[in-house]
Amino acid sequence: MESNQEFSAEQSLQVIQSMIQKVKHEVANNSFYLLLWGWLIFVATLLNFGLMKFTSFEQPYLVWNLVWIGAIVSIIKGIKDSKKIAVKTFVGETMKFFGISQAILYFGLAFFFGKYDLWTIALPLYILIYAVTCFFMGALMQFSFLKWTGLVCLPIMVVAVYVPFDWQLLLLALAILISYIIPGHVLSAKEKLQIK
Amino acid sequence: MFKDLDPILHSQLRLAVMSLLISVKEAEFIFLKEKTNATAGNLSVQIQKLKEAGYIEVIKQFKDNYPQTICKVTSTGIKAFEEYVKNLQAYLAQK
Repeated sequence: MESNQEFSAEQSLQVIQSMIQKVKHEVANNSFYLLLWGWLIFVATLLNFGLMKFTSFEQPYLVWNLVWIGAIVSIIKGIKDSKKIAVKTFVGETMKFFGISQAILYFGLAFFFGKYDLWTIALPLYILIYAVTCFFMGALMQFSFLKWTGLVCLPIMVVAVYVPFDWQLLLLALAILISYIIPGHVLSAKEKLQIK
Repeated sequence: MFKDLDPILHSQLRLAVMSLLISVKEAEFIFLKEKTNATAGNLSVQIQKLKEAGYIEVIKQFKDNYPQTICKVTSTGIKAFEEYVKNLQAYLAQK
């Protein structure tokens, strides 16, 4: 691009539009976190259910220590990405702090539920948080599919309120599959197309 | 009307840089170079002109022992860009 050549008003507008388009297509690696946490929670939920239902293991909730792996991987990835990135977008920064807020919320609630032994209400509440999280992220990323999958979690949450704990685990797995895993794979495919 | 367009912004590369920076919080020099396909030398000159006009802020620092240049648009730059776009649209509407 040469700066000194004469150019018309129409060309000025074209330059503005093309540069804005180039930034819009900057890839944010949001699918990574959706898939990491989606699969982690999905596996932990089903392991918890399986151990409860089909074994005599007395502490099936210990599988939830898998989330520490997710936390460590997320932190390492976040630090590595922040060193590589050559541009900070407003959406990217908002997503970063939203993700950190979510982490604080999930771990904080787990502490709270553990302290007061409120696990019978915990899972529907987590499903509600998935619904709101995905709706918000979908709106921020202009990814409608994620907004809709978030909303689909709301009736799942309502059902979860009326069923026993073991069924709540299965509903949690369903909610995370719909709200995190499927949209995560769709977003990942979109991101790969944009890179090409 | 066409002659009233801000001469600082009415330059292909400077306009491209401002358009990129308006859309983001901040961007590194290498990002701007990649998106504008400009040479490093030319881009440096145009960034300096935008900085002297007060339209962008330039931060030079080191990252992993390598020099890093980060550019951000200023509030003066945002106003100037908005004015430029408004005048451009008015001119195109008249044609």
